[in-house]
Amino acid sequence: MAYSYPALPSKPTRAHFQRLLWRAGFAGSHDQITHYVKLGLPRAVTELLTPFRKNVLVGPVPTDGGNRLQPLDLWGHDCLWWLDRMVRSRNQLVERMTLNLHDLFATSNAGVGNTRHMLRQNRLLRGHAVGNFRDLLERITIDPAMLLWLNGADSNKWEPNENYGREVMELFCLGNDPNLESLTHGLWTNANMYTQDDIHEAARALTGWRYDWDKAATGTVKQRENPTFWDAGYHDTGSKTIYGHTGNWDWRDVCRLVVNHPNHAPYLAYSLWSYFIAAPPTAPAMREMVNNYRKSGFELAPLLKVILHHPAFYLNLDEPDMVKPPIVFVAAGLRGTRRFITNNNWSWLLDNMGQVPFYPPNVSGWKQGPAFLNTNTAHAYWQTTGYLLYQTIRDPGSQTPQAAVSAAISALSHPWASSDTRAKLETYAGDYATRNGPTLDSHDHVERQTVIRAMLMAGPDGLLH
Amino acid sequence: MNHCGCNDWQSTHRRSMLRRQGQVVPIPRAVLAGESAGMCRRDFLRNGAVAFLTVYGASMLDWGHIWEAASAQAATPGTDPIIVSVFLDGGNDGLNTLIPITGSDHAAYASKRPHIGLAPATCLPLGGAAANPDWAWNPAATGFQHLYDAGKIAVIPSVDYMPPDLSHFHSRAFWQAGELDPDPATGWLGRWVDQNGAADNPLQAVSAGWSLDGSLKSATNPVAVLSSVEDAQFTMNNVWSDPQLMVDTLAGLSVRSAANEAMAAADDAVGGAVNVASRLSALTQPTLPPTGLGYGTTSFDQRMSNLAWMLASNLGMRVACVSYDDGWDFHDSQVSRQAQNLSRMSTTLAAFQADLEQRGLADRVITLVWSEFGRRVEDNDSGGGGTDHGAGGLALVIGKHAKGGLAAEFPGISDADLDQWGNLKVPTDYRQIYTNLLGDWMGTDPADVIPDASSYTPLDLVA
Repeated sequence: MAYSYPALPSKPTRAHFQRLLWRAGFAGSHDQITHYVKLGLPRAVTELLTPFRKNVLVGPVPTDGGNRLQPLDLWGHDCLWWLDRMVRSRNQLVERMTLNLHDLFATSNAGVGNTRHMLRQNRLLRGHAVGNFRDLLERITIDPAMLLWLNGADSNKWEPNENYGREVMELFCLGNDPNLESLTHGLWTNANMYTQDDIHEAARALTGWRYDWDKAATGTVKQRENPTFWDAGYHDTGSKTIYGHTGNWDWRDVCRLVVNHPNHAPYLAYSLWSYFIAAPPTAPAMREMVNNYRKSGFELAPLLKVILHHPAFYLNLDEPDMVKPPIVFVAAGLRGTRRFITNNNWSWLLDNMGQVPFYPPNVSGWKQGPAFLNTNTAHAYWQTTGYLLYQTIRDPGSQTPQAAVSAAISALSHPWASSDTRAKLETYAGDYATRNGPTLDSHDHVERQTVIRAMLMAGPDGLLH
Repeated sequence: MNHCGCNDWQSTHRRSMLRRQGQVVPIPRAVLAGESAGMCRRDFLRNGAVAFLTVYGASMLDWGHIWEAASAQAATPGTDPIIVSVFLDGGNDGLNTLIPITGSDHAAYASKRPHIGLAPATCLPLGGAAANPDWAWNPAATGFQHLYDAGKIAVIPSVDYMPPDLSHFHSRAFWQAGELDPDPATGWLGRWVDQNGAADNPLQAVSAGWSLDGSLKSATNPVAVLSSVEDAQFTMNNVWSDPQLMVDTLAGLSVRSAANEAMAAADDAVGGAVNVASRLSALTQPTLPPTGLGYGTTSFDQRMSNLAWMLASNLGMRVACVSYDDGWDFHDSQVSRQAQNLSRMSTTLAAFQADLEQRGLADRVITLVWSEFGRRVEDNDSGGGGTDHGAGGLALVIGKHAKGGLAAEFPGISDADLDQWGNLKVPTDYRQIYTNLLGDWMGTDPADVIPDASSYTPLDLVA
């Protein structure tokens, strides 16, 4: 199958690889960047798109207060469990895409009320993060968390519940924002918009899945994980018309009709692009993404490869233009400070920052980009930085202002810092020595180093990638 | 719902596209901070630079100036009217909040709601001067009964827009925008602030919570997000020799020419947070709310009691937005979940009203309670009974100066009264609430804020 990709930058610098790991992962460690630099950009992209199957997690197992995590039973441990994967996984793009798909298929444990189901759905998303979207859609449509979240488990032929039928079109797969027509350069069209009739007919077709509450409570582990079952007696076998196609459709047909809907490929391509690149896609990029995706039978990798190859992905390396989502900030902060999961603070800190994994605010997911930032959340990013830096700084001894700033940048695995920010931090380091001198003691050295690192992480530069 | 043939939709589409182009214009922060004479206010407007700032749109001003202006307003007790918007996020079911208990409407209600229908005998009657035998409150909505019987609630029983779209996200955006634009650049209260507010006081318009309410998005004049005044200080473990130098440096990092929208947002969030922390704590002395009002302990209670306190602090606040975001989207198990929400929400609003009265603010504040849509008249049997998205939601206007009673038409719920989807018809457009509040309550011209305002005949909600 011949797919089409934009040409990668021919002379990539280290900054190209840093951008790649920041946006297609959770930032690269010094060693990881060096590894990818040796591979070269084309093979680095290929490696990200080709998950390792063995030795995926590298580093110590996560703990809370010295004990192993109990994601099913203890508050916040579900969050820690996933955060740990983001920190330790060699499959960085897989973890980042799992987060993106969690935002796209936003399912909240606030509605599901079953962590076992949430973790199962998380594995499902991870398994398809760079895999086949149509297969993912079929599975998530009957995933127990989703069946509870959007009422599929309550829907039946007598009283079809429209919740999933609506959101699978509006939010997950087709979109209804009329602006999409111009944003996708006309590949998505208003003329093809689904209707309320389509939603209602799809709701009828989706009936037949039930949820066994007894097995969910007291069944075997396997039953507790997925207590859903098909009941032909609950399925509406009548004729339905969806997007003008008439037949005795069931849930599989709905998935098929949705992914074959002319607005699906452009909607998904546009949505995925916007997780990686701030500027809207160009017309050729839209065409390449849509063509690769359709030609491949709804594979995500050929679509994602267009994004990771595109010159827009590597634009403005000295002026990053995307806001780090709070989860990315925390995972990357742990990687940058070379730490692993050893406590449960991240769960409540992420709540303050406005993004708790497994708890999106509603079925449309988190509002991305600048919407993450306001005076309240900026303070929460700062507060979190205090926890990330806690007990990570030893007395560096006497340093010139320039050396103090360089040491801080190096200690944090080289986060982006503008020249303006570096200059201001050097000024701070000098002023600190003047105001607290003539000689600085051990505490002063630590304090100064702490402040510089905090500024790099939670100052405005640190919020961008 | 297919909108391609709808002129209204297409015209709003074009407008939002124009705005979108404007959003990507980078804003040099030094200019906005007043450090350059090269760009005047009018240029700023022309560029349409609507940033998602925490003190949104305020960065053209020097922070010291902003807070001096707020302090100056704090010194003199205000007299101007205030709107508080309370959003019930998720689509509250109006028909099980205020229940038809007589005649054909009740018969239709009982037959269409076999799972979640409430028995009239258990519901709370509408008493007081505006007593109405045809309706009763949900048994859990004790706070509404209290307020209604005191003549302090005007009820709009079926309000929406045409054609109703049934999408959470569109409907909420439309209500917040005050026009049928799914991706609005400004909100209706934000435009009011642009037209009638001050250029230098972000506290004139406050989202009481963690994020900016879309209704408050402004283009030129500043608005703010504020959750609590405490816990806002910038401290760091191990930093005690010279914390002031740290805070000053942090604020300084954000003063520069931002290269793009994300950088501008980061600069303004950080710079704004530092300034909010230092200025707000100096600006006002904490004043505990009066006791014995019946506030509970939920985050909504905290937001509302905080809001009453901020209103009493004379910060020049004119509009405020709060959302009750525990969710009202009851596709299933509705009866118990809605009862819990209604109980908490209505008692909090009653406590808020009592708080305003004790603080001497009741003549200045009107509270609008709204949700993005109503729900399907016919219930489903999911989880013991729920409702799908519908049209014609319930809105309430609460206050000492609300005109107590039913303030708009109810279209009826017999089969013949409903639309083709079994939804309530829409006799009242939500903008008829806005034109009334903007004109008769705020004393300003609705046409400044609501596109095509003259076509939305104001309701009669305030006295």
